[in-house]
Amino acid sequence: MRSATPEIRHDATVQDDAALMLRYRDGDLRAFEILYARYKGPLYRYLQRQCHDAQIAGDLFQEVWSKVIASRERYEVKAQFNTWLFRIAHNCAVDHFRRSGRQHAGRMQDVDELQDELPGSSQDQPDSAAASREVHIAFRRALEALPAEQRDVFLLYEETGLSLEEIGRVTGVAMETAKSRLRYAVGKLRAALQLHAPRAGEAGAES
Amino acid sequence: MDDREFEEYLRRESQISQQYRELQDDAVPAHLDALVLEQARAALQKESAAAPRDDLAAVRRRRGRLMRWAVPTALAASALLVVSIVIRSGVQHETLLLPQVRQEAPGAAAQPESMEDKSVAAERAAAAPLVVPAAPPAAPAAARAEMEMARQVQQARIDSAGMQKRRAAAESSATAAAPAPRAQVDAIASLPAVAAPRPSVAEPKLAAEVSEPAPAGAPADVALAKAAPSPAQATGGEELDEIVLTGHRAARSARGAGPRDTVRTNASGSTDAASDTTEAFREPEPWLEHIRQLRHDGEDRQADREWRRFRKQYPDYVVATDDPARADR
Repeated sequence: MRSATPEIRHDATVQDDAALMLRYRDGDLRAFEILYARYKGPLYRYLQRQCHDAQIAGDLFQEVWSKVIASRERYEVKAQFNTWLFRIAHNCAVDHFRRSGRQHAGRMQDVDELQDELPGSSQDQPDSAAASREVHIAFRRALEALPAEQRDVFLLYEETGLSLEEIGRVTGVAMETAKSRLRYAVGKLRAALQLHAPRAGEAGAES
Repeated sequence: MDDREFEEYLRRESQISQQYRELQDDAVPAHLDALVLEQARAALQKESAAAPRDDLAAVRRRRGRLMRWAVPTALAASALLVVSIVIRSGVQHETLLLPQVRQEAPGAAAQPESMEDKSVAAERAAAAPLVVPAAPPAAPAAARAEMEMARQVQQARIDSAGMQKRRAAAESSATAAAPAPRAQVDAIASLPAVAAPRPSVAEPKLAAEVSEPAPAGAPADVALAKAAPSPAQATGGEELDEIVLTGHRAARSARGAGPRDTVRTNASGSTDAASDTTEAFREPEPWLEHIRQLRHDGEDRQADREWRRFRKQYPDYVVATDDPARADR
């Protein structure tokens, strides 16, 4: 389990990111290793939860870093490194969706449809651990069921710690659009949690 | 979802964020880490390996820039070469024409060929018993013009006063007096000594050959030159004149294109004939008789020439007004 604070959102870290990237541009491999260690987790989770496929996520992950490596000579400190990195990742994901013929809108699955896929009622889950696992599964399925744009904004907000304005730059939309998408995503996820949380609470109370 | 709940989420205090972080952590596969890091390392190595290629490319670019100047440079060099050749050939043409100009100009008859090969000059100096050194062979055109002007001035001076001194000196000498054409040739021959410095190497040659006894069978002029006082003595040191008397150069002298420092005479030439006359007639009366004989034979030009020489030699000798020897009879 990760810490409660965003993993990579620190002002000093942002400045360090740019310096590390410049060092790598000048031939310092160690700087790249530090940078990679810092961003590999958020980037991989972002890609995997966007694609729902570990193989595709791995390919996209490698593609993103290849682009970072290839464009190191053109790198300039115009924006935060994570903004630049996740913009590359976002574009790679969008390209993948287009190549695979999948609608970028994603599976427009309503959160209510997840109810049928959820585990059985609290009578079938005798302990609170099972109830908690049920909530996690429900949350994951609800996340996967989000429209791609909403999921994209939600993942970026959770994984990168970027502001809504920065997320808007990454995804190429206005800040209000990004905020609206995030609001819809959070609402759907909250509804999914509320749907299963009472059961989990009841199961916990009974046990 | 109301605004309060969303603001709570934006502050990361919502249950949504907590649930997301509690999801099973998806770690990056180790093989992906290795791939990416290896790719980053390879990129740096490729870059360092590409640096020499960049240098090579830079050299090629510089070479390309230089090659852009190759054609203009070649054209400029060719133009310079052509101009140099034209200028040089012009100088040579002028030099080749110079002897002809000298031939046409009366005062330039004895001027040397300025472009004459030094080896030829040395050969001539060795062959000549008496040499007045020539001016530097490669004198520039301007220097030649100045020399020409100085020579003409000298010629005028010689014509007026110098010749009189020579004649007086010749008359006062123990030898027979030199005829007027001979004095004129002497004057021409003396010009280079004024216009150009004598090479030091020629002076011992001059002195040695002057002091040499006349070889057997030498022309009469040689004996005359040796018997006569030195030119410096004859002219009071004002003019330096010499005459080179060599048989093998007679042909060039007859053409009037010989070096100005050497005036050559031939026993078969007119100058030598005059010398012969002067030598033969040391007394006035036989000379007059000779002139009369020439007129009798119909050789009036020769007779007139002899008469003029006679008059120069003996200006006060009384000759009858109806004497056939007189030219103005």
